[in-house]
Amino acid sequence: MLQGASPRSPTMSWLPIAPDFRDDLRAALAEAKLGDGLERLAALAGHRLGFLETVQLDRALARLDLKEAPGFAAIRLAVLASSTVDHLPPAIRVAGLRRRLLIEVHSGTYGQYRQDLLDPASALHQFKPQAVLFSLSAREAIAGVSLAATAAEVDDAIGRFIAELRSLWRRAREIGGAAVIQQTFLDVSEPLFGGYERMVPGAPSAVVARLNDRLAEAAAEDRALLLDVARSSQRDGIDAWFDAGRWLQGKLEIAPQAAPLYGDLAARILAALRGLSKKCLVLDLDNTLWGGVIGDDGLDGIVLGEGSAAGEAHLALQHYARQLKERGIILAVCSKNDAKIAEAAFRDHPEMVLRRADIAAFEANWDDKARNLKVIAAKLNIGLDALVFVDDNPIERARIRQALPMVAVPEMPEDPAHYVRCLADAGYFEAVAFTADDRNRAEQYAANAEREALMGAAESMDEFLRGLKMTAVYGPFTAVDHARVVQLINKTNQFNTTTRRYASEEIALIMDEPDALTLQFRLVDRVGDNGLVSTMILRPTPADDEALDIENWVMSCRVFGRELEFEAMNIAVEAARERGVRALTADYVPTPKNDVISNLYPSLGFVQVDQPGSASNGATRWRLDLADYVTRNTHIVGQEQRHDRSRDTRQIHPHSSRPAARRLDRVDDGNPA
Amino acid sequence: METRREDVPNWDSFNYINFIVAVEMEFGVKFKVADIESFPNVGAIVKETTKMLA
Repeated sequence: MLQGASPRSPTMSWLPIAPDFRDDLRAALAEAKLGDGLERLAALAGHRLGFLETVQLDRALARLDLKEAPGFAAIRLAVLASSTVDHLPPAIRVAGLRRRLLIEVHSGTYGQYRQDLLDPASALHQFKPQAVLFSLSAREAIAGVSLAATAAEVDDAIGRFIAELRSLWRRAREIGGAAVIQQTFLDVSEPLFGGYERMVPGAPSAVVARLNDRLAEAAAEDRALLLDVARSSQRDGIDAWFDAGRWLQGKLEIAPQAAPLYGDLAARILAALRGLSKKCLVLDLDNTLWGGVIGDDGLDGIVLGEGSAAGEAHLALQHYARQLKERGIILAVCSKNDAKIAEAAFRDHPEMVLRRADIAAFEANWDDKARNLKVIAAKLNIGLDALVFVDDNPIERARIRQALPMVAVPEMPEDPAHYVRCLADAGYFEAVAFTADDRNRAEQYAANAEREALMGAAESMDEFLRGLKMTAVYGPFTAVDHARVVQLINKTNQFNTTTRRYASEEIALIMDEPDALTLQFRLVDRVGDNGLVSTMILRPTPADDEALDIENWVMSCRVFGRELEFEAMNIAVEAARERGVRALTADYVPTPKNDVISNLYPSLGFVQVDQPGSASNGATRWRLDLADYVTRNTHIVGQEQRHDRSRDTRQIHPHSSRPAARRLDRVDDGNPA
Repeated sequence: METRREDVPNWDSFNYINFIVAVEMEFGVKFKVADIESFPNVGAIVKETTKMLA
């Protein structure tokens, strides 16, 4: 095996080692069906691979020559670089495969990226990238800065460089609303002043540090995403990422041995853009969240907390999980334990950082863990592929990998001291935004538990829904909600009528289209605010000039079964009527995940207008004549959102303002006629 | 051992770097930049590797 042969390779320690890489590769290529071969390669890509194995796997992938495949999402990525990057696309494709993404990579000629962006006839434009990755060296940025430059002069030079970069980002976006990913700048300089270095504004490393700071600010403003090699090179050491020999030989700024991790970093971002980041951390208890076995050792016997190095190691994992929860990751427990004893630890152990209320799904019993993970996914209404399962026991890990290959199962280090590092390195929870909804998600899941209790107490569904006193606050997409709208559309897989994904820029363009109708819905009830949970994009369609077409409609699984789809349609119909529209049309494009809405449009009164079975992807086309629409009586009050600039502060103070009530008459005297 | 770059179809600088990286990783050695530039054939790489491993 090649991994570990060089001490200067970044290792992807969370991935299991492939026992028979060559045999598995051959077996994949020997499959009669290309799809089966692809599945085998995807499974193999889930292992720890060195640079050469990555190249070999990529060659096998090229031999299958599949641009798309069922169960795999396709995405086109252009890499624009100021150094040689020929070694990166194989790693990006393999890391994509690890996430069931088929990434088609276009690499521009190195150093030609400005011309390629400016020339509409260039191969780059023809390629129609959905994401553009800028892989630039800091050399250009720092070339013009003299060692004697003052802080102001350095800022000036960096400001100019960043301004040019932003104009390049704009150009990239203009190619069909591509998402922009910018690699942070690798500091490959050597110190001239020793410890005094940071105090000299014009010193190369000081300039690169400042450059990266300014880059992050610009990216936040322009909604570009960062592929943070600077951070990774701090983590692994610069020798793992940059090799002066390779630079001299072939102008490779990213060392070949770092390519597999580079590919993984890139694929994480692309997956996150597609809503494929993990959503839930499932934790084992014994020897994971604490040391020892609580069933044997008792509440007093487990190792946890201050005063013992091992106890603090487990505590560190709890702290980390707690912080993940604060950024919107759902926590769950899956443990072979007596439920009462396990829950008692959360309640009664003084050193526990995680409390029972932090855990959205708690499965402690003696059943098979694969079965329990399915229960957890079902309870939370998320896919199994949204779970990360952390367990110290290699047998349990192997069991889950075999039974549920879609669940991410990191190889945990033997020593709990390194648990957090391993989990963090794996990058399962890559984010493309941090919205008010993320900050409140934990509370929203806790509120959902409260709703479940209400449902248990209610005599009937009707009584339960009435008791919730629900209000749908709605309005067009606004700049304030932009990030959450993009996030919701791209993350939602179940209630998603077309599973069309939109880049942030595309949404911005649609918001400015006078003929487009956008609607976003928040659902508030007596237990709490569910946040922005549904969006609809309606645009005119050339096929039917009397109609608006529901190009995309998504709804968070958190609010299924609450009649919001009916109230949303009431509101959409009303808004369409106000525009003088006669009909709504819509496509339903089935995917392996959105079967839950296969009957949505007929249930809303739409009539199918195409020949059943006519579309190759199984899509069906629907039409609703607004004259025929009967407003549906629901338990939800519609309330239009006030256009209030003070709402711009909502990202910081999520509950600071509530739009004024304007009830729609039809709900109060709603008559189903 | 006598194989030279021009003897292998489709051989390019990228393949060459991959090859060098493979040898370095497999044997835990590191070639000098000047040597990489001037290895005349596979035999020279084997010889240099053996020398470093000795």
